[in-house]
Amino acid sequence: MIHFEGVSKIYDNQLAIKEVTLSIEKGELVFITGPSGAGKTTLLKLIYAQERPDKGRIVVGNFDLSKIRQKRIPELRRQIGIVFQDFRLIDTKTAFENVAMPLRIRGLSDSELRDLVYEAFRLVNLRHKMDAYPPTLSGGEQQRVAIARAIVAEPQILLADEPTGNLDPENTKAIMEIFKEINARGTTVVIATHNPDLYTHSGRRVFRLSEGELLGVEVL
Amino acid sequence: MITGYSFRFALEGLKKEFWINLIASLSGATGLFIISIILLVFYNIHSATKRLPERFTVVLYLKDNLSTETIDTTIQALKNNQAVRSVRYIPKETALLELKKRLKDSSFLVEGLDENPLPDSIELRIKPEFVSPDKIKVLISELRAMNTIDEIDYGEDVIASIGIIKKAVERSGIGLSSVILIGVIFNFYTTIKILFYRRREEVETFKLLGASPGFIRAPFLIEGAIIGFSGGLIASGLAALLYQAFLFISTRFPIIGAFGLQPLEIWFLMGLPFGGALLGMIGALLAIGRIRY
Repeated sequence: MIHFEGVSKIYDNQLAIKEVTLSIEKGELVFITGPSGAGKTTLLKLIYAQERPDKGRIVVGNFDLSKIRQKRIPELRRQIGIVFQDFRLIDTKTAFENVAMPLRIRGLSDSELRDLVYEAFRLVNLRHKMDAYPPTLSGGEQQRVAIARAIVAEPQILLADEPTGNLDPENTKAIMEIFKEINARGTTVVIATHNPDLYTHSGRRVFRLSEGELLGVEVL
Repeated sequence: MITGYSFRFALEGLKKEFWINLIASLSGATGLFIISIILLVFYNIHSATKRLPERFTVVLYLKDNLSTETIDTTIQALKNNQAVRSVRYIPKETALLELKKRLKDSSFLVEGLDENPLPDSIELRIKPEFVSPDKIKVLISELRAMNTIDEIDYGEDVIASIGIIKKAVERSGIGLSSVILIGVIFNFYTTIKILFYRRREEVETFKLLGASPGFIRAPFLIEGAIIGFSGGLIASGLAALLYQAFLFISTRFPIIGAFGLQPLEIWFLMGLPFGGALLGMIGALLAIGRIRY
């Protein structure tokens, strides 16, 4: 599903990703871990083509990102759900509207998207906050809205960048359960985190990054 | 890709940035109103120059002592000419009578003449589409070739003036309108640029969520169209008011009405808002430019 072959990314003459080669199979749930600045976010950005590799080849599903043309990027991104580290919620729109956005982008009408949005809110246990605006929500609630938006269109791949960064242990556990449930439905899930509680004893593959280099892969 | 959501998004934007949009709409209206006035002037000069050819005549003075048969043949040949609208034969006697009528109190000047000095003549009215310097030159050279005609009198200077006025009005009208048109588009361009810039965070998020360029552009195009449409509507209203004011003044001061000034056609006034909408959309398209991912 996701293949990196000798991928490097340079920012300001500094290697952010160094010769990374990895493969994530369809339907897998994997973790990418490492300290801050290890290159986790850059690696995710390379998957959804917000960044282009300076070297190497990236294949995501049917898309070869080394050759992808600008006009095909929206198509690629519509197959990926993303939970951004900074949430990227639109403050002037209600939580409902934020979650409905990926469906509107896909051209669904109000009546077509309503049930899907309700289901996403049910999954993150936030139906009572659908009409609230993001600035009035707590960090944890905003995170859950961001997750609902990422999963609402049932993407083939779900990328989550520090998805539990603002959550207490109880909510962290709940969010991880959501990711597992989405993964059980067949979605490939990639979670970038520096929180070992998420992947320890998970039985999933963990890619360990440090200073842009892939140090190793292990099942924990 | 314009959906109901695009409209809602656009309307939200218009409401949120009400003052910027109002100012853009008003300045667009000013530009479109000025264009209307230029076109009004242009239209009137054009109509006036269009009416002149209808009055344009060519007088052919015939040679002396032509037989009735030769004159008839000449008249028939002239009638067959595609540029000629009507032919009027004026025998020298009629010409003298007409001259006397025209001279009125001074008719005594011709009373004492032993002999009628005027020649037989033919007055031609020309089809308006042939009243241009080039076409008249061709016609006159054809007429000169006829051996029954002694002399030709036509308003050579008038023809040249009509051509010059027409060209000057057309060129200056097009030039001025183009400059203002570009100004109006630039006004819409800057407004949408500001709106686009203010919503760049949203736009970036849309891009990351997989929005197509069409989805991103649509609300801004709609906003541009609405701003332009309302500008056009205001300009149209102002132009209609101006016309009403003119009507009012011309009833008070008949001298103004005597010029026979024409109002702008109703289709133009009705089309102005749609023209404004189109300009707004062009401005928006230029402002958004290419969507890069």
